[in-house]
Amino acid sequence: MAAGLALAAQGIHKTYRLGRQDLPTLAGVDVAAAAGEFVGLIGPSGCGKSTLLRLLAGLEEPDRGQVLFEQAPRLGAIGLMPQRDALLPWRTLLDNVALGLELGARLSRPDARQAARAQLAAFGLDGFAAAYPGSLSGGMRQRGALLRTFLAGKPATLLDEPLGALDSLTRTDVQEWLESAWLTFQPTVVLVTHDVDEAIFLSDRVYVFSARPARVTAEVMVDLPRPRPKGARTAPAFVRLKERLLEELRGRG
Amino acid sequence: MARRYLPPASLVVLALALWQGAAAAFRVPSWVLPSPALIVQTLWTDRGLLLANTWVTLEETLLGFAVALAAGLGLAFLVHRSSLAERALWPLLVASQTVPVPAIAPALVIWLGFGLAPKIVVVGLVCFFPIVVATVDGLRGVDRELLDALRTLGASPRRLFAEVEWPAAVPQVFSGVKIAITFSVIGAVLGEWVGASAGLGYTMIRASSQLLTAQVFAAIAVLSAAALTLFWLTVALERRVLRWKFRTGGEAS
Repeated sequence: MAAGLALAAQGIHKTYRLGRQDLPTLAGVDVAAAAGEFVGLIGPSGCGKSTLLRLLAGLEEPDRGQVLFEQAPRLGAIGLMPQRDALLPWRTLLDNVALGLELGARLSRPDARQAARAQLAAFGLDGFAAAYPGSLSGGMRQRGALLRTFLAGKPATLLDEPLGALDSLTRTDVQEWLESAWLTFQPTVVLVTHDVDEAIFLSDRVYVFSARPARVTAEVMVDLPRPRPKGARTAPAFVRLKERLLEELRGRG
Repeated sequence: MARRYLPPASLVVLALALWQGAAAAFRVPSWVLPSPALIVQTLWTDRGLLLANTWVTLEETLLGFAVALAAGLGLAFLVHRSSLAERALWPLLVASQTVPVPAIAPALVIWLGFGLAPKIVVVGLVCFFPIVVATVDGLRGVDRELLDALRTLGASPRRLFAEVEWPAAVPQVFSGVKIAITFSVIGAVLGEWVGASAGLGYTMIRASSQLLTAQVFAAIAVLSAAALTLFWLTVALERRVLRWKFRTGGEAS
C-alpha cells in the first residue's frame, strides 16, 4: 500500500445477475483516500456508487480487483451510513447514538449513554435524547445517524448520500455540521452524493463517475481553506470548480 | 372512551333486550333457551361452582399457552436460522394444521390420561401455529439496511439478533400472540370435552346432559369474559413493550 493511503480500491469490477441478464455495475474503478482525507464521489443516479461503498465496507466482495485497507477483515472496521439514516426505531435518539460507542469503543450501555449525552449537547440534539426516531425531523435523524457513525470511532467512514432526503436549507446546515464533525473526529471519509455543491463544499478531492457500468472519468482537487464558511459556495474558486465538475459530469471526458 | 365502547355496548344491550322479550313472548321453556335474566341469575347462584371450574380451565389455558409460546418461538428461530430446518420443518408445520385437533384429542386422552397433560397439549397444538407464522414473517421482514449499517460498525451476529432482528419481529410476534391467546381458551374447553373431571368445558357438558341450559350459557359467558380479559392483557402488554411504535403514531418512516 502506498504511504499515507488509508483506503484504496484498485481495478474493481462488479457484475450482478438479474434473472438471466448480466448487469455490469462497476467496470474497473480506481479510487483512493489518504488517512484523514475527505473524498467525494459524484456521478449520475444509479451508476453504482452505492455498490462501491458496499464493496469498500466489506459487505460484498468485488468480482475482480481489490480493496486495500490497513486492517483485515474490513467488515466491522469501516463504518457505513446508508442512504436512509438506519437509526433503530426502537431505540431512543440517545441510545441510537450510544450504540456507536457500544459497538465501537465496547463501552457498557450506561457509559456509552453518558458519553453520548455530552456529544448530543455539543451537536444541538440535546432535549431530544429521549425521543424515538419516528418522532424526529429528517435533519435531526441524519445528524443522529452521523453522530452514531462517527462515535463508533472507525478509522474510515463511508457516507451514502447522507443528506439526500433533506430540503436545501436543512441540507446546508447539516453540511456545515458535518464538516465540523469531521474536523473533530478526523476519520477518513468517502462521501457519495449527486449534489455537486455538496461534494465541493465538503471534500478535499472529488471523483467523477460515468453512468453504469461506472468508471472514474475525472479526479478534481478541491483546494479551499477549512473550515469553509457559508459564503464559500459563492466564492469565485468554488464556482470555477463547480463549472468544471458539471462539465465532467456531462461527459466531456 | 365513550366513542369507542358505546357502539358495541349498545348493540349487545339491544340484542339482549330482544332475546329477553322473545323468550317471554313465545314462552320458550328455559331448558331450550334460557332468558338473559335467568343466565345472569345463574351466574350469581352458581358462582362458587363456576369460579372453581374457571380456575381449572384458566390453569390449562395458561400452561398450554406458555408451551405454545416457547415451542412457537423456538421453531420460528430454527426455521429462520437454518434453511435446512426451514425446508424440513415448514411443510410439516403447515400439514399439522390440517389435522383437526378434536379428532386427535381422544387419542391424547388414551396416551396421557384424564389429567392436565392432554389439555396442555391440545391448547399448545391450537396456539403454536399463529405464533410460528407471525414470528417467522417478522424475522424475515427485517430491514437489510439496518443490519448492514450495524455490521459495518462491528456488531456480532448475536448482537445483530438482539439489536435488530428480534426487536423488528416483536410487533409481528404480538399479532400472532393475540390470535393464539384467543384460541387458547377454546383449546382448553376442547380438551375438557374429551375427558375431564373439572373445568368450564366439563361444566358445560355435565350441565347440558342434565338440561341445565342456563348453566351452559353461564359457563359460556364466563369463558368469553376470560378470553376477552386475556386478549386485553396482551394488548396492554403490547402497548408497553412497543412504546416506540405507539408513541410516534404508527410505523416509523
